[in-house]
Amino acid sequence: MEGGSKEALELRIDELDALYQLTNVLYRSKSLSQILEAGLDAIVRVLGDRASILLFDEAGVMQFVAWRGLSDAYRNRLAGHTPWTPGQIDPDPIFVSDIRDTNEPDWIKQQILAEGIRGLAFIPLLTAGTVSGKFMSYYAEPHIFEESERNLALTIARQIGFSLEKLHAEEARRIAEEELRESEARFRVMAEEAPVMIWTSGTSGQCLYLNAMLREFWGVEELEDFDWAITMHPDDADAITAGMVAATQDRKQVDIEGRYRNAIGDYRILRTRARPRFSPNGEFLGMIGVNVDITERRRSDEQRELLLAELNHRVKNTLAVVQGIAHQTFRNGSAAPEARAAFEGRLLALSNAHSLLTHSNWENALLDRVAKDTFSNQGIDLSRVSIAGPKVELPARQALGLSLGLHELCTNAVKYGAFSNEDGRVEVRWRVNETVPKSICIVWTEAGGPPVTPPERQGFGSRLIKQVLSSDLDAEVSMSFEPTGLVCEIQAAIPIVEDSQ
Amino acid sequence: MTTIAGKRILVVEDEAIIAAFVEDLLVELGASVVGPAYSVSQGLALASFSAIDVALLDVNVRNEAIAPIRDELRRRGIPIVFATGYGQDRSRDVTEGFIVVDKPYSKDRIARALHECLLSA
Repeated sequence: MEGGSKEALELRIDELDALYQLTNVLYRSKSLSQILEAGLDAIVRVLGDRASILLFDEAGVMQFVAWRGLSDAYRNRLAGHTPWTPGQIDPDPIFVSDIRDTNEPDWIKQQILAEGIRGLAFIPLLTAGTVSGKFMSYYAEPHIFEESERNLALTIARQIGFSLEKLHAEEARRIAEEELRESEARFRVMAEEAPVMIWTSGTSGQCLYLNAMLREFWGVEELEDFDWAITMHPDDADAITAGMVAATQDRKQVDIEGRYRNAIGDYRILRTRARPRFSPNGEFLGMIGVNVDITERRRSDEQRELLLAELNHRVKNTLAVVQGIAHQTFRNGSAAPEARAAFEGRLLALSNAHSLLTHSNWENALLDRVAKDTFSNQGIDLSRVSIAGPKVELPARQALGLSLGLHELCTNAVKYGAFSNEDGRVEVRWRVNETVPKSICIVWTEAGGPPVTPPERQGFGSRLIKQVLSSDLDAEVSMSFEPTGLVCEIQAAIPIVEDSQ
Repeated sequence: MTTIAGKRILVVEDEAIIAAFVEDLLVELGASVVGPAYSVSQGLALASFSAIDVALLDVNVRNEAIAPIRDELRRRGIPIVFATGYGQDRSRDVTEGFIVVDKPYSKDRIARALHECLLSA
């Protein structure tokens, strides 16, 4: 190409025009075939008059996808023939001036010559920097590829590659959007048909969505005509509204209970748990919540509490009757006053432990509470007592047993030990041993009482302490009469109730 | 507990054995017992017409409401101590504002409750 000659200039202008046409069409192309056709148009206009475009298929085989002026036989024989592998990074194009001069296998040379081709160019098509195909330009005569032709070929390849890349990206986005739409539709069906009440609200707390169960609950047909505020029980409305407004304003979770009037006019207790919703870029959209109808549960809880209270009352009354009978039986001096007092004390200890358990629905009682009650029920000033240990919940049976055991220890201390003078003290300490199963060691230590001598015979008190504790608490009890005061160590293997969240 | 000595105390308690026990306890404390009444109607009659300084009422008398006796005593300005096996929470609607003593009784507890009640009356 001689610079300056009129012919060369016209050629340049034609090339520029071809490139302009190519970019213009590619820019507006929506499909693979449009891209391929535009590419072929440009190639045959400025390079060889025959051309083809090949792309790797899913199996990694180079396949003809568009062509101009090639026979079926040629394409069938030479499909898959490529100097590059899929994913190869930025390989150099190959320009063959004459196929006769190459080292290609004979059958390939024969095939190419039979098609009337002597010169060829292999130009790689890159998407995202790696080879995804190539275009070929064919010449009937041997062809010297000038620098400008090579550049032209590469420019066309870049344009086609870029368009293919754009097409892939659009395709991927379309698929992602479709998947998102499907998953949203799936979620909508799930929320709609879920056997719980689900709703969403907007930024100012207005109702945006009620699922089928909630629409049925409130008898809502058109959301626009619905105001959930008017279904709240007048006594609960302020608390519910305050809770929801605060959660919406502060964008926080909320857990709130209240009564709402349903479609048939009954009030039901709904427990609402809601949390803020945000758009993907973090913008607050309102709340999403789940309501659970806890009316029945609440009712049965109340019934159970009522039954327990009634049971407790009857037991207490029966204990009072037993107390009365004992009183009548022993009234005429047939028993020592101390025996009567001891009996009454034990009865009261049993009754107190009973009350303690009733308060916790007969499930468990805090060790700390059991110990404190033992002292206060005997009128011991708690300033003379120190109680310390980790939080431990005792099952009902163990709590009852320990209550009786501590009562006896306390009675004993009042009669002979640390509480028999003005300044003796009692310390109750416990620790949990990490054995399997867990065990607990409770130590009762008296100090500051009168000097201690071991009793000569085992009284009912210490027998009760040992027997009750060892049977109810599955404990080993050791009592040692130290000169400073009684020390009672209770080693119990008990199913400790773990701190539940 | 000198305030209890010589006082006339109305006892309403449907269990005869408990009532007898309470009666003995109160006598030991130097008080005299009005009743004991074993039913609400009996108790109501005594509450209306007897000379009473203080009353000891069981919350549940044969499953009848104790309220009429309470209201009558309140009308006459007679202080009341309630006795219950329900624990404090359960019988609150009846006993709200009154001194409550837990069953089973102890002499101590009864004496303390009556004393407190008479002092605040």
